Amino acid sequence: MAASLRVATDVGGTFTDLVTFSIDADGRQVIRTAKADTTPPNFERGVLDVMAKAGVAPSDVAFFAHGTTVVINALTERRGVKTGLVTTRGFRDILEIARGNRPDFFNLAYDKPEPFVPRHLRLEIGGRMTYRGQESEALDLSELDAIIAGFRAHGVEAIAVCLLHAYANPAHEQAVAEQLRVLMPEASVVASHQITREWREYERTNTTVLSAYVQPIAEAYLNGLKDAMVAGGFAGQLYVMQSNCGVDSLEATSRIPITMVESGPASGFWGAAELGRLIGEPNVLALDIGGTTAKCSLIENAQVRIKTDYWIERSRETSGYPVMVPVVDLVEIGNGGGSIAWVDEYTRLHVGPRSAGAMPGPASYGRGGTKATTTDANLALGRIDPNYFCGGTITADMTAVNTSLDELAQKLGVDRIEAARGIVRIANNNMVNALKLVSLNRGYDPRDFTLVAFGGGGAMHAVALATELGCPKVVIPRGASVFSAWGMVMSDLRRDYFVTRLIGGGETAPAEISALVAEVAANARQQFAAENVSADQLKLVALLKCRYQNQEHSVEVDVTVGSFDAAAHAALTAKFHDMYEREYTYRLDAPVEVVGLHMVASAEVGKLELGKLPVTGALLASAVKGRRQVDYATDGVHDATIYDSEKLEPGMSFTGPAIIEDPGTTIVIHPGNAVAIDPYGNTIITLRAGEN
Amino acid sequence: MLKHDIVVHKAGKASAGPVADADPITTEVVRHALNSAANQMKRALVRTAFSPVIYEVLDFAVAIYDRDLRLLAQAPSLPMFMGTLNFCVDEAVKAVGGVDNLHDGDIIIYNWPYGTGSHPQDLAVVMPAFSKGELIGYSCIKGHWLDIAGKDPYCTDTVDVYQEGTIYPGVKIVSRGVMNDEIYRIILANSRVPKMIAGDLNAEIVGVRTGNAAFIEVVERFGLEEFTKAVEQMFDHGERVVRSYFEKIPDGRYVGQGMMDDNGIEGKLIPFEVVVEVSGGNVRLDFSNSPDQQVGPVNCPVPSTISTSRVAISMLAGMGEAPNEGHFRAIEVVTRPGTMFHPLPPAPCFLYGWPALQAIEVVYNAISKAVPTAVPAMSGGCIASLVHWGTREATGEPWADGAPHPVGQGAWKGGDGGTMLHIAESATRFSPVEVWESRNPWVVEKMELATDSCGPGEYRGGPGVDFHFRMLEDTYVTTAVERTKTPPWGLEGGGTGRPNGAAVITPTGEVIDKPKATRLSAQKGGLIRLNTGGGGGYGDPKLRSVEAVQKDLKAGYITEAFARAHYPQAFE
Repeated sequence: MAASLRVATDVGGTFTDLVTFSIDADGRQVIRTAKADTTPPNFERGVLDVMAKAGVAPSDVAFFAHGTTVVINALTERRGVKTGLVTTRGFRDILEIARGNRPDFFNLAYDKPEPFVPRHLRLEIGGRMTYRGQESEALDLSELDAIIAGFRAHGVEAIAVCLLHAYANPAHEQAVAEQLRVLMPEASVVASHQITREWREYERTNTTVLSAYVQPIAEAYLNGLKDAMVAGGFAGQLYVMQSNCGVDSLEATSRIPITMVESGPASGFWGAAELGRLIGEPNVLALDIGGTTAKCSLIENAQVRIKTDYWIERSRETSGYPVMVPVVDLVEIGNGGGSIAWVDEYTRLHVGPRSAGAMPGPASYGRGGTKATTTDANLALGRIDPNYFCGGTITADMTAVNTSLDELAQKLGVDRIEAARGIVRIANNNMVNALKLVSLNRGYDPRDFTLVAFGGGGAMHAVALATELGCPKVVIPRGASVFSAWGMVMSDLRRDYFVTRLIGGGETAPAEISALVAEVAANARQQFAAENVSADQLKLVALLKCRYQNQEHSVEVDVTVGSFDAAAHAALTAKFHDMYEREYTYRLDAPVEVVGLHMVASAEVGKLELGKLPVTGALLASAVKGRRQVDYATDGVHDATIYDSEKLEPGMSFTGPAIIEDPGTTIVIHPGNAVAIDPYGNTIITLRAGEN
Repeated sequence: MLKHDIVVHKAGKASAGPVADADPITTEVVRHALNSAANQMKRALVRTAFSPVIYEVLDFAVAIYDRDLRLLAQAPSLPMFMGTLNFCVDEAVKAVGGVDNLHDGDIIIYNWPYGTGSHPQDLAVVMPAFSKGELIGYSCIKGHWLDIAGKDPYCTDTVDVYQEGTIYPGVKIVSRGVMNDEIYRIILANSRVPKMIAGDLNAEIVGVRTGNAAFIEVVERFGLEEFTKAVEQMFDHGERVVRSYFEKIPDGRYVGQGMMDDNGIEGKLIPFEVVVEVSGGNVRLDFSNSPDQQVGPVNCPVPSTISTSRVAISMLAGMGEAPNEGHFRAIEVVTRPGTMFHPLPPAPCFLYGWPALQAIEVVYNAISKAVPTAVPAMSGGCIASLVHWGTREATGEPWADGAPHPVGQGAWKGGDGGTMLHIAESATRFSPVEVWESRNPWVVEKMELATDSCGPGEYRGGPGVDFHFRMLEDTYVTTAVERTKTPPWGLEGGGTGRPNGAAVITPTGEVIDKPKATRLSAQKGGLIRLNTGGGGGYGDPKLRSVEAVQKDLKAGYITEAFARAHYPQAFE
């Protein structure tokens, strides 16, 4: 077998998953999956195990994309190395003072999250840059001797360097990092400018510290993976999934592993954008519902939104830790299929954020779970077939489901079915609010977007959510339960560069903007050349961050990469006024300033060419499995037609009430919905026309 | 002065009685949808505001009210403002001739301090919401405007309210959707920084419009009748939460003691007390024994006295929920006209917030006498504000900026205090130094946790912070820092923390130690030094674990001398 497989592997906390994609002789996309245990600390063994299970040899693989939760898990489980910080004199407490706020507004006993570097390992050095990047006080490297002695005395293994205004001029940081590498070669050293060129010292310092903290672990793991794959005969390039929806080379990732921090959800959202491009749906609300969480993101004009204000461990109760790397703009809530429903002391029903997890799992798993979950409610309402639970692999324990629901029902003073409906309504409500956060709260109207839902639970709730938000259409991709893996093999080699630079509206602005774009573009070209990507393969998109002078929030305005003259500057200003007015309904006669650049550099690294599915001309009736009573929670009880997803083919269409059963998910079609199977096997659901 | 009779205020409108057939699930959905609407309003404001006081300091509040002025939802912002917005709406509507004179698309601005509860800088923007031609409620934003032509951009020494800024007594800046350019021009003419004011006013207009659009959508989704049932049930729930908290506290009369440094004009201490009376599920906060209203601007108009009470109680007893009208129903507030917490016009009130925010902790001080474990020891006790302004050397442009600063927080049973902004400014974020230095003519030379500043205890207070701002140009600064003469209290045997302090140091080294002063000259090359207070400790220091003391020593929060003095157990 020639190396033709596209393989996505994903190392999770418990399992290592593999999905392979190939196109058979009929042009039909063939998806195969396998699962093995994750094997810490030698994670590469789990990857080889799962490949062996699937009968895939490294030499069969044409394209290998790898996603991993190793970085995020090392952070949340505090399994990184002992890290020291070198920072500007007077600022060692920035990690502790942070931004001074108290996210849990009403908590009088708020416990601030503890910094990853304790105070005695946060050491200071003199020297200052101004915000313009000019040196105002010289650096004295001899101060490093005492700093190194301090680090050595405490067994520091990794050092983060973050100096004030290094985003504007990294010279001091570079000098400190270089000297540290010479004088303390046993430690790994990372400086803030290697990760980001944006301002905000707390966020940048914390990002640098977190990167240093996981660097030795991530590097060892990625190198182990590479060695194992090469030893097995793999000859291609290994790509690692990043948080910005792209992949990057293994070598680049091992240098700055923190860019992988939120790579899990990113691939699914990239998949949704790619799918939208393929089927002509450029504006997408993407929703991924798994076992413990639901995540959503907004895609406008086929572009994912990338931001650099991601925080780990952030919740209503705690501020968490900022990670200033490019991350897809997403909202995640503790609401998945396994989320536990509970009643508080004021008899109010809640769903999540606690989850039943894999063990014991929902009550219906029959593994001793006694708490009702969203999945259990879906079973009780007939939305999931108890006789085809998890694709028929598990016999649903309906006795346990009923017992768990009865307990809630009694507390609420309602009957079992009302309790189950309540769970579905509250879960839907939580997800609607999350979807509003990425749309309405960002100034977008969900009625202009198509809801693309995936993950094991997405299809179950999508229609109800779209109805409430007013989305006219829902798309459930073929293979929805492994859609994230599909997104991974569709990814581009991509890097997002964010650079803070204040450029006013004066006469020198065109030249300054020109210089900024040229400088970042040259840097991108050089870095991609090192990955053997030639200049003509490289796609550069320049987005200038503009705002009215004195504002904080900026609007990204795209400009062409190339010469930038006074006319281009006038066009930029006019475009900003228009975009601002569209988003905020007014414009001002105020000066416009540039606060920085976001440049997206990408190159295709061999996407899967998706062909249309063959049509046999089978009758729709051949896909009908039967009928059953389904409780739609918000839409009454109806006699629904049940379809087998594997027997549906392009061109088939029908109306709800219906259920489509797939081995990995269940699609709930409400009364009045119009369903069509598109040429690629995706399920397109049009909501009732009268209500849109 | 003539002694007035006391006035008893109900902090929340009473329930009309239980709602028989409200569906509890719908109520939850409505509650979340309303909170989401308030958050959309906040977001729109923050994203479009021009002054850091709005987008960074979050010196504003946004809320949605029903037509009976009952609080439906608010978004986390400045708690102290939040509890005053119903008064703002009420007075603004009265000023334009009552509800009969409201039309779809109208937007009113209003800032008479005795109606808003604040100094004139805090301007309310009120927009009535109509659904199918019927008035259903209001969106309201109260936000701090950087300058509205008071005697100085920020004042600690006014002697009447007219020195504090221009008054907008309730006028329609937008009438049936059309901006009134005449009023707009008057507003811009009455500011030292008109560009910022123009930006912030537009942002607030976008904010109330966004809030109303989302609010109307919620009402129309459920229909007014279903919606009304749901909110009645939502209010009744809020009421139950707060009442059940006080039912667990022994009935009694508990007295909390506060102390203001001075009134800004006369240099003498101002002690005050708040009496907390708990009776079953009711709580009464009695401010009637306050000192007479002051000649300097530390007078707190009634709406803010009620707001402070609402904030203190909902933070304490609200179970961490976003409060609504129901959470306030258990609260009664007692004031006496002519006193510091019920001043009469035209008493100056620029620093109304300082007694108000201290009163929150005084209420907790009173509660600690009933249930010590329920509350933390005192924090640095102030928002420690500095407000700067001047004219930029290079451009001649006027500029102004201001910020509160983090203080040490009080320890509580079970935990050490951290270092954060005062609880009254919970949601406020402190500006990044890198952004600050790009905006203002100074360099921050130091921002570090102050050694030995935390109150000792079994659980220690949070450290205060030492700030050094080096001026690169000639500037002015108003210092508004309280509790510099009386240290933060500890609880249950815990020790006091370091009090606040602020000084300007001239280029020649002269130290001008003035923590509450207006228009101090901070010259090029000079330094502004701000030393914020540490939190009080909780519990006997002798009970602090040796391990915790050693950890504090290793981190350098305390010196060995301090440890030996307070924690001898670590050296035995």
